[in-house]
Amino acid sequence: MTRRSVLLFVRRWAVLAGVCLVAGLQLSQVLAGRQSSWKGGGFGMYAGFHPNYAEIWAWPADGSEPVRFTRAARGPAHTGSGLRLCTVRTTLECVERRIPRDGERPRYRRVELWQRSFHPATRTLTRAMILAYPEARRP
Amino acid sequence: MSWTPFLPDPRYGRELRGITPSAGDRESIVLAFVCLAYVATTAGFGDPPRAVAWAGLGAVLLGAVAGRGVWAGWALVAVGLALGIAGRPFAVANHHFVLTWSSLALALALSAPAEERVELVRHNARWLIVAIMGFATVHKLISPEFMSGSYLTFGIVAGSFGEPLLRFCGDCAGIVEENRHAIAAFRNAVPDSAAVLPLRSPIPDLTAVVRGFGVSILIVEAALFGLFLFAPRSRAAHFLVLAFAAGLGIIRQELVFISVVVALGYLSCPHSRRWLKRAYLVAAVVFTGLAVY
Repeated sequence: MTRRSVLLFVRRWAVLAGVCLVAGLQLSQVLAGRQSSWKGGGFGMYAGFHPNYAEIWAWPADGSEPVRFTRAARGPAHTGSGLRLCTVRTTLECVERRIPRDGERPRYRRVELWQRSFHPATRTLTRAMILAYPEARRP
Repeated sequence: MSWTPFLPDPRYGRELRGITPSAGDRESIVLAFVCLAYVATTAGFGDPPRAVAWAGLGAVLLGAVAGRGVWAGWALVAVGLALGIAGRPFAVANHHFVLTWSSLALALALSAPAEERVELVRHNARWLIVAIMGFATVHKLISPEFMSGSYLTFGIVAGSFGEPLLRFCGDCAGIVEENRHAIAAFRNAVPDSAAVLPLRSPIPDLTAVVRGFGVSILIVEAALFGLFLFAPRSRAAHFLVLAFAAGLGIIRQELVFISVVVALGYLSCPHSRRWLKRAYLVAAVVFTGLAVY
Protein backbone atom coordinates (compact mmCIF):
# COMPACT_ATOMS: atom_id res chain seq x y z
CA MET A 1 0.00 0.00 0.00
CA THR A 2 1.53 3.31 -1.06
CA ARG A 3 1.50 6.51 0.97
CA ARG A 4 -0.79 8.07 -1.62
CA SER A 5 -3.38 5.31 -1.36
CA VAL A 6 -3.35 5.55 2.46
CA LEU A 7 -3.90 9.29 2.24
CA LEU A 8 -6.70 8.81 -0.26
CA PHE A 9 -8.36 6.30 2.07
CA VAL A 10 -8.12 8.76 4.99
CA ARG A 11 -9.50 11.61 2.88
CA ARG A 12 -12.40 9.45 1.74
CA TRP A 13 -13.46 7.84 5.00
CA ALA A 14 -12.07 9.76 8.04
CA VAL A 15 -15.01 12.18 8.20
CA LEU A 16 -17.64 9.47 7.87
CA ALA A 17 -15.87 7.42 10.57
CA GLY A 18 -15.86 10.45 12.89
CA VAL A 19 -19.53 11.20 12.23
CA CYS A 20 -20.54 7.58 12.91
CA LEU A 21 -18.46 7.45 16.10
CA VAL A 22 -19.94 10.64 17.59
CA ALA A 23 -23.50 9.94 16.43
CA GLY A 24 -23.25 6.29 17.56
CA LEU A 25 -22.10 7.31 21.05
CA GLN A 26 -24.91 9.85 21.27
CA LEU A 27 -27.45 7.25 20.12
CA SER A 28 -26.28 4.81 22.81
CA GLN A 29 -26.74 7.53 25.47
CA VAL A 30 -30.22 8.28 24.16
CA LEU A 31 -31.14 4.59 24.24
CA ALA A 32 -29.89 4.40 27.84
CA GLY A 33 -32.15 7.35 28.77
CA ARG A 34 -29.19 9.48 29.79
CA GLN A 35 -29.46 12.15 27.12
CA SER A 36 -31.88 14.10 24.94
CA SER A 37 -31.89 13.05 21.29
CA TRP A 38 -31.68 16.70 20.22
CA LYS A 39 -28.14 17.45 21.35
CA GLY A 40 -24.72 15.87 21.19
CA GLY A 41 -24.20 15.68 17.43
CA GLY A 42 -26.28 12.57 16.73
CA PHE A 43 -28.85 14.15 14.38
CA GLY A 44 -31.82 13.24 16.57
CA MET A 45 -33.55 16.59 16.12
CA TYR A 46 -37.36 16.54 15.91
CA ALA A 47 -37.56 13.01 17.30
CA GLY A 48 -39.11 14.17 20.58
CA PHE A 49 -39.64 17.13 22.88
CA HIS A 50 -36.81 19.66 22.84
CA PRO A 51 -34.85 19.89 26.12
CA ASN A 52 -36.02 23.51 26.38
CA TYR A 53 -39.45 22.06 27.19
CA ALA A 54 -38.04 20.30 30.25
CA GLU A 55 -38.28 22.16 33.53
CA ILE A 56 -35.86 22.37 36.42
CA TRP A 57 -37.36 23.33 39.75
CA ALA A 58 -35.24 23.96 42.83
CA TRP A 59 -36.19 24.43 46.46
CA PRO A 60 -33.80 26.94 48.14
CA ALA A 61 -32.07 25.86 51.33
CA ASP A 62 -33.42 28.94 53.14
CA GLY A 63 -36.97 27.59 52.85
CA SER A 64 -38.22 30.20 50.38
CA GLU A 65 -40.47 29.45 47.40
CA PRO A 66 -39.21 27.06 44.70
CA VAL A 67 -37.69 28.60 41.59
CA ARG A 68 -37.76 27.42 38.00
CA PHE A 69 -34.55 27.48 35.99
CA THR A 70 -35.19 28.65 32.48
CA ARG A 71 -32.95 29.82 29.68
CA ALA A 72 -34.31 33.34 30.04
CA ALA A 73 -34.35 33.65 33.84
CA ARG A 74 -31.13 35.27 34.99
CA GLY A 75 -32.21 36.61 38.38
CA PRO A 76 -30.07 36.28 41.50
CA ALA A 77 -31.68 32.97 42.41
CA HIS A 78 -30.84 31.48 39.04
CA THR A 79 -27.25 32.50 38.51
CA GLY A 80 -24.03 30.55 38.89
CA SER A 81 -25.48 27.32 37.59
CA GLY A 82 -25.17 25.17 34.54
CA LEU A 83 -28.20 23.25 35.77
CA ARG A 84 -30.04 23.88 32.50
CA LEU A 85 -27.56 21.49 30.90
CA CYS A 86 -29.23 18.70 32.88
CA THR A 87 -32.28 19.02 30.63
CA VAL A 88 -29.95 17.55 27.97
CA ARG A 89 -27.81 15.24 30.18
CA THR A 90 -30.67 13.83 32.20
CA THR A 91 -28.65 12.17 34.96
CA LEU A 92 -28.34 12.60 38.71
CA GLU A 93 -24.57 13.07 38.33
CA CYS A 94 -25.25 16.09 36.13
CA VAL A 95 -27.43 17.70 38.82
CA GLU A 96 -25.02 16.77 41.61
CA ARG A 97 -22.08 18.32 39.76
CA ARG A 98 -23.85 21.49 38.70
CA ILE A 99 -26.05 22.38 41.65
CA PRO A 100 -25.05 25.90 42.86
CA ARG A 101 -23.17 25.78 46.15
CA ASP A 102 -22.12 28.19 48.89
CA GLY A 103 -18.74 26.65 49.66
CA GLU A 104 -19.46 22.94 50.11
CA ARG A 105 -23.14 23.39 50.92
CA PRO A 106 -25.71 23.18 48.10
CA ARG A 107 -27.79 26.33 47.76
CA TYR A 108 -30.88 24.19 47.14
CA ARG A 109 -32.18 21.36 49.26
CA ARG A 110 -33.94 19.69 46.38
CA VAL A 111 -33.82 19.85 42.59
CA GLU A 112 -36.38 18.22 40.31
CA LEU A 113 -36.34 17.69 36.56
CA TRP A 114 -39.75 17.51 34.89
CA GLN A 115 -40.54 16.56 31.31
CA ARG A 116 -43.69 17.28 29.35
CA SER A 117 -45.97 14.56 28.24
CA PHE A 118 -48.76 15.08 25.73
CA HIS A 119 -51.57 12.61 25.13
CA PRO A 120 -52.56 12.89 21.48
CA ALA A 121 -55.94 11.17 21.83
CA THR A 122 -57.23 13.39 24.66
CA ARG A 123 -55.06 16.39 23.70
CA THR A 124 -54.05 16.89 27.29
CA LEU A 125 -50.71 18.10 28.57
CA THR A 126 -49.25 16.69 31.75
CA ARG A 127 -45.81 16.75 33.38
CA ALA A 128 -43.81 13.83 34.68
CA MET A 129 -40.84 13.99 37.04
CA ILE A 130 -37.88 12.22 35.50
CA LEU A 131 -35.36 12.74 38.30
CA ALA A 132 -34.96 14.35 41.71
CA TYR A 133 -31.88 15.26 43.71
CA PRO A 134 -31.42 14.25 46.45
CA GLU A 135 -33.82 11.39 46.09
CA ALA A 136 -35.78 12.32 49.22
CA ARG A 137 -39.35 13.61 49.24
CA ARG A 138 -40.22 17.16 48.27
CA PRO A 139 -39.96 19.61 51.22
CA MET B 1 -5.11 28.28 -9.77
CA SER B 2 -4.65 25.80 -12.56
CA TRP B 3 -7.39 25.73 -15.19
CA THR B 4 -5.94 22.77 -17.04
CA PRO B 5 -8.64 20.15 -17.52
CA PHE B 6 -7.67 16.87 -15.94
CA LEU B 7 -8.33 13.36 -17.08
CA PRO B 8 -11.71 11.98 -16.06
CA ASP B 9 -11.84 9.70 -13.08
CA PRO B 10 -12.52 6.21 -14.49
CA ARG B 11 -15.25 5.68 -11.89
CA TYR B 12 -17.15 8.72 -13.01
CA GLY B 13 -16.13 8.80 -16.65
CA ARG B 14 -18.09 11.25 -18.74
CA GLU B 15 -19.38 13.09 -15.72
CA LEU B 16 -16.03 14.68 -14.79
CA ARG B 17 -14.78 15.40 -18.30
CA GLY B 18 -14.01 19.09 -18.70
CA ILE B 19 -14.18 19.79 -14.96
CA THR B 20 -11.11 21.65 -13.74
CA PRO B 21 -9.22 20.84 -10.53
CA SER B 22 -10.29 24.21 -9.20
CA ALA B 23 -13.94 23.16 -9.36
CA GLY B 24 -13.81 21.70 -5.84
CA ASP B 25 -12.36 24.99 -4.56
CA ARG B 26 -14.93 27.12 -6.33
CA GLU B 27 -17.86 24.99 -5.26
CA SER B 28 -16.81 25.04 -1.63
CA ILE B 29 -17.48 28.79 -1.58
CA VAL B 30 -21.20 28.04 -1.23
CA LEU B 31 -20.50 26.25 2.03
CA ALA B 32 -18.19 29.10 3.07
CA PHE B 33 -21.11 31.55 2.83
CA VAL B 34 -23.35 29.24 4.85
CA CYS B 35 -20.58 28.99 7.49
CA LEU B 36 -20.22 32.75 7.41
CA ALA B 37 -23.95 33.18 8.01
CA TYR B 38 -23.82 30.72 10.91
CA VAL B 39 -20.73 32.21 12.57
CA ALA B 40 -22.05 35.75 12.12
CA THR B 41 -25.54 35.11 13.46
CA THR B 42 -25.07 32.49 16.18
CA ALA B 43 -24.06 33.61 19.63
CA GLY B 44 -22.95 31.28 22.35
CA PHE B 45 -20.16 29.12 21.10
CA GLY B 46 -17.49 31.32 22.63
CA ASP B 47 -15.39 34.19 21.34
CA PRO B 48 -11.99 32.45 20.84
CA PRO B 49 -13.49 29.63 18.71
CA ARG B 50 -15.49 32.19 16.77
CA ALA B 51 -12.31 34.22 16.09
CA VAL B 52 -10.56 31.10 14.77
CA ALA B 53 -13.54 30.30 12.52
CA TRP B 54 -13.60 33.91 11.24
CA ALA B 55 -9.88 33.70 10.45
CA GLY B 56 -10.43 30.44 8.58
CA LEU B 57 -13.34 31.81 6.58
CA GLY B 58 -11.30 34.90 5.75
CA ALA B 59 -8.53 32.67 4.46
CA VAL B 60 -11.00 30.60 2.42
CA LEU B 61 -12.57 33.65 0.77
CA LEU B 62 -9.27 35.47 0.19
CA GLY B 63 -7.81 32.24 -1.19
CA ALA B 64 -10.73 31.97 -3.60
CA VAL B 65 -10.21 35.55 -4.80
CA ALA B 66 -6.48 35.03 -5.19
CA GLY B 67 -6.96 31.69 -6.91
CA ARG B 68 -4.90 29.74 -4.37
CA GLY B 69 -5.72 26.49 -2.64
CA VAL B 70 -7.75 27.03 0.52
CA TRP B 71 -7.49 23.74 2.40
CA ALA B 72 -5.66 25.38 5.33
CA GLY B 73 -8.48 27.93 5.61
CA TRP B 74 -11.02 25.11 5.85
CA ALA B 75 -8.84 23.36 8.43
CA LEU B 76 -8.91 26.55 10.51
CA VAL B 77 -12.70 26.77 10.17
CA ALA B 78 -12.97 23.14 11.32
CA VAL B 79 -10.71 23.84 14.32
CA GLY B 80 -12.73 26.95 15.29
CA LEU B 81 -16.05 25.08 15.09
CA ALA B 82 -14.60 22.03 16.89
CA LEU B 83 -13.38 24.29 19.73
CA GLY B 84 -16.94 25.63 19.93
CA ILE B 85 -18.18 22.04 20.37
CA ALA B 86 -15.48 21.24 22.93
CA GLY B 87 -16.58 24.24 25.04
CA ARG B 88 -20.30 23.31 25.04
CA PRO B 89 -20.72 19.81 23.62
CA PHE B 90 -24.32 19.40 24.80
CA ALA B 91 -25.50 22.88 23.91
CA VAL B 92 -24.51 23.43 20.28
CA ALA B 93 -26.98 22.60 17.52
CA ASN B 94 -26.72 19.67 15.13
CA HIS B 95 -25.96 21.98 12.21
CA HIS B 96 -22.89 23.18 14.13
CA PHE B 97 -21.68 19.56 14.07
CA VAL B 98 -22.55 19.24 10.38
CA LEU B 99 -20.62 22.42 9.53
CA THR B 100 -17.63 21.15 11.52
CA TRP B 101 -17.60 17.80 9.71
CA SER B 102 -18.14 19.53 6.34
CA SER B 103 -15.24 21.93 6.95
CA LEU B 104 -12.98 19.03 7.89
CA ALA B 105 -14.11 17.13 4.78
CA LEU B 106 -13.27 20.12 2.58
CA ALA B 107 -9.88 20.59 4.24
CA LEU B 108 -9.07 16.94 3.55
CA ALA B 109 -10.45 16.97 0.01
CA LEU B 110 -8.79 20.22 -1.05
CA SER B 111 -5.42 19.12 0.33
CA ALA B 112 -5.45 16.18 -2.11
CA PRO B 113 -3.76 16.19 -5.52
CA ALA B 114 -5.72 18.30 -8.01
CA GLU B 115 -7.14 15.38 -9.97
CA GLU B 116 -8.72 13.85 -6.85
CA ARG B 117 -10.35 16.94 -5.38
CA VAL B 118 -13.70 17.10 -7.12
CA GLU B 119 -14.43 13.44 -6.52
CA LEU B 120 -13.42 13.73 -2.84
CA VAL B 121 -15.67 16.76 -2.28
CA ARG B 122 -18.62 14.89 -3.85
CA HIS B 123 -17.86 11.69 -1.95
CA ASN B 124 -17.67 13.36 1.48
CA ALA B 125 -20.76 15.53 0.92
CA ARG B 126 -22.72 12.47 -0.22
CA TRP B 127 -21.78 10.39 2.83
CA LEU B 128 -22.53 13.25 5.21
CA ILE B 129 -26.08 13.36 3.82
CA VAL B 130 -26.33 9.56 4.16
CA ALA B 131 -25.22 9.76 7.83
CA ILE B 132 -27.46 12.71 8.74
CA MET B 133 -30.58 11.18 7.21
CA GLY B 134 -29.79 7.66 8.45
CA PHE B 135 -29.31 8.69 12.08
CA ALA B 136 -32.27 11.11 11.93
CA THR B 137 -34.53 8.27 10.76
CA VAL B 138 -33.28 5.86 13.44
CA HIS B 139 -33.83 8.44 16.20
CA LYS B 140 -37.42 8.93 15.10
CA LEU B 141 -38.11 5.21 14.85
CA ILE B 142 -36.88 4.56 18.41
CA SER B 143 -38.62 7.58 19.93
CA PRO B 144 -41.95 6.73 21.63
CA GLU B 145 -42.86 10.45 21.55
CA PHE B 146 -42.50 10.54 17.77
CA MET B 147 -44.04 7.16 17.00
CA SER B 148 -47.08 7.72 19.24
CA GLY B 149 -47.79 11.07 17.59
CA SER B 150 -47.43 12.83 20.95
CA TYR B 151 -44.63 15.15 19.85
CA LEU B 152 -46.09 16.07 16.47
CA THR B 153 -49.61 16.60 17.84
CA PHE B 154 -48.25 18.89 20.56
CA GLY B 155 -46.18 20.76 17.95
CA ILE B 156 -49.28 21.49 15.85
CA VAL B 157 -51.48 22.36 18.83
CA ALA B 158 -48.81 24.71 20.24
CA GLY B 159 -48.05 26.26 16.83
CA SER B 160 -44.47 24.99 16.54
CA PHE B 161 -45.14 23.46 13.12
CA GLY B 162 -46.58 25.07 10.02
CA GLU B 163 -46.77 28.55 11.51
CA PRO B 164 -46.88 30.31 8.08
CA LEU B 165 -49.90 28.15 7.14
CA LEU B 166 -51.95 29.16 10.20
CA ARG B 167 -52.85 32.55 8.77
CA PHE B 168 -54.70 30.85 5.90
CA CYS B 169 -56.82 28.72 8.20
CA GLY B 170 -59.69 30.71 9.71
CA ASP B 171 -59.50 30.75 13.48
CA CYS B 172 -56.41 28.50 13.73
CA ALA B 173 -54.02 31.28 14.75
CA GLY B 174 -56.39 32.37 17.52
CA ILE B 175 -56.70 28.84 18.93
CA VAL B 176 -52.91 28.36 18.85
CA GLU B 177 -52.40 31.66 20.66
CA GLU B 178 -54.93 30.62 23.29
CA ASN B 179 -53.11 27.29 23.73
CA ARG B 180 -49.76 29.06 24.08
CA HIS B 181 -51.04 31.28 26.88
CA ALA B 182 -52.49 28.26 28.68
CA ILE B 183 -49.18 26.35 28.31
CA ALA B 184 -47.17 29.31 29.66
CA ALA B 185 -49.42 29.58 32.73
CA PHE B 186 -49.25 25.80 33.25
CA ARG B 187 -45.47 25.90 33.03
CA ASN B 188 -45.13 28.67 35.61
CA ALA B 189 -46.96 26.67 38.28
CA VAL B 190 -44.97 24.34 40.57
CA PRO B 191 -45.23 20.96 38.82
CA ASP B 192 -47.67 18.37 39.97
CA SER B 193 -48.04 15.05 38.19
CA ALA B 194 -51.80 15.12 38.77
CA ALA B 195 -52.25 18.45 36.96
CA VAL B 196 -53.75 18.15 33.47
CA LEU B 197 -54.10 20.88 30.85
CA PRO B 198 -56.57 20.23 28.01
CA LEU B 199 -55.68 21.98 24.75
CA ARG B 200 -57.79 22.73 21.67
CA SER B 201 -57.04 21.47 18.20
CA PRO B 202 -56.57 24.27 15.67
CA ILE B 203 -57.45 22.01 12.73
CA PRO B 204 -60.14 19.40 12.09
CA ASP B 205 -59.16 15.73 11.97
CA LEU B 206 -55.89 16.33 13.78
CA THR B 207 -55.17 12.63 14.34
CA ALA B 208 -55.20 11.85 10.60
CA VAL B 209 -53.10 14.93 9.83
CA VAL B 210 -50.50 13.91 12.41
CA ARG B 211 -50.39 10.35 11.11
CA GLY B 212 -49.81 11.58 7.55
CA PHE B 213 -47.25 14.14 8.69
CA GLY B 214 -45.26 11.59 10.72
CA VAL B 215 -45.28 8.97 7.98
CA SER B 216 -44.23 11.58 5.38
CA ILE B 217 -41.27 12.70 7.52
CA LEU B 218 -40.09 9.09 7.91
CA ILE B 219 -40.53 8.31 4.21
CA VAL B 220 -38.67 11.43 3.03
CA GLU B 221 -35.74 11.00 5.44
CA ALA B 222 -35.45 7.27 4.72
CA ALA B 223 -35.69 7.96 0.97
CA LEU B 224 -32.90 10.56 1.18
CA PHE B 225 -30.79 8.04 3.08
CA GLY B 226 -31.47 5.33 0.50
CA LEU B 227 -31.07 7.50 -2.58
CA PHE B 228 -27.76 9.00 -1.45
CA LEU B 229 -26.55 5.56 -0.43
CA PHE B 230 -27.45 3.75 -3.66
CA ALA B 231 -28.02 6.43 -6.32
CA PRO B 232 -26.21 9.59 -5.25
CA ARG B 233 -25.98 11.02 -8.77
CA SER B 234 -29.62 10.47 -9.66
CA ARG B 235 -32.00 13.32 -10.38
CA ALA B 236 -34.43 11.88 -7.80
CA ALA B 237 -31.89 12.19 -4.97
CA HIS B 238 -31.18 15.85 -5.64
CA PHE B 239 -34.77 16.75 -6.42
CA LEU B 240 -35.75 15.27 -3.06
CA VAL B 241 -33.11 17.35 -1.22
CA LEU B 242 -34.57 20.50 -2.76
CA ALA B 243 -38.14 19.40 -1.97
CA PHE B 244 -37.08 18.56 1.60
CA ALA B 245 -35.52 22.01 1.98
CA ALA B 246 -38.63 23.75 0.61
CA GLY B 247 -40.96 21.65 2.79
CA LEU B 248 -38.90 22.23 5.92
CA GLY B 249 -38.86 25.96 5.13
CA ILE B 250 -42.66 26.00 5.26
CA ILE B 251 -43.14 23.67 8.23
CA ARG B 252 -40.36 24.90 10.47
CA GLN B 253 -37.99 27.78 9.78
CA GLU B 254 -34.69 26.05 10.58
CA LEU B 255 -32.97 28.26 8.05
CA VAL B 256 -29.33 27.55 8.91
CA PHE B 257 -29.91 23.79 8.94
CA ILE B 258 -31.74 24.03 5.60
CA SER B 259 -28.86 26.10 4.14
CA VAL B 260 -26.35 23.48 5.30
CA VAL B 261 -28.33 20.62 3.73
CA VAL B 262 -28.70 22.58 0.48
CA ALA B 263 -24.95 23.33 0.42
CA LEU B 264 -24.15 19.64 0.96
CA GLY B 265 -26.59 18.71 -1.81
CA TYR B 266 -24.88 21.22 -4.10
CA LEU B 267 -21.43 19.82 -3.32
CA SER B 268 -22.58 16.24 -3.89
CA CYS B 269 -24.40 17.03 -7.15
CA PRO B 270 -22.54 16.15 -10.37
CA HIS B 271 -21.74 18.89 -12.86
CA SER B 272 -23.78 17.11 -15.50
CA ARG B 273 -26.99 18.02 -13.59
CA ARG B 274 -26.77 21.65 -14.55
CA TRP B 275 -30.29 22.80 -13.76
CA LEU B 276 -30.12 21.05 -10.38
CA LYS B 277 -26.82 22.80 -9.61
CA ARG B 278 -28.47 26.11 -10.46
CA ALA B 279 -31.52 25.28 -8.36
CA TYR B 280 -29.20 24.46 -5.44
CA LEU B 281 -27.42 27.79 -5.87
CA VAL B 282 -30.71 29.71 -5.86
CA ALA B 283 -31.92 27.77 -2.80
CA ALA B 284 -28.60 28.36 -0.98
CA VAL B 285 -28.77 32.11 -1.66
CA VAL B 286 -32.42 32.32 -0.58
CA PHE B 287 -32.11 30.28 2.63
CA THR B 288 -28.74 31.75 3.67
CA GLY B 289 -30.11 35.24 3.00
CA LEU B 290 -33.22 34.51 5.09
CA ALA B 291 -31.06 33.06 7.89
CA VAL B 292 -28.98 36.24 8.04
CA TYR B 293 -32.07 38.45 7.74
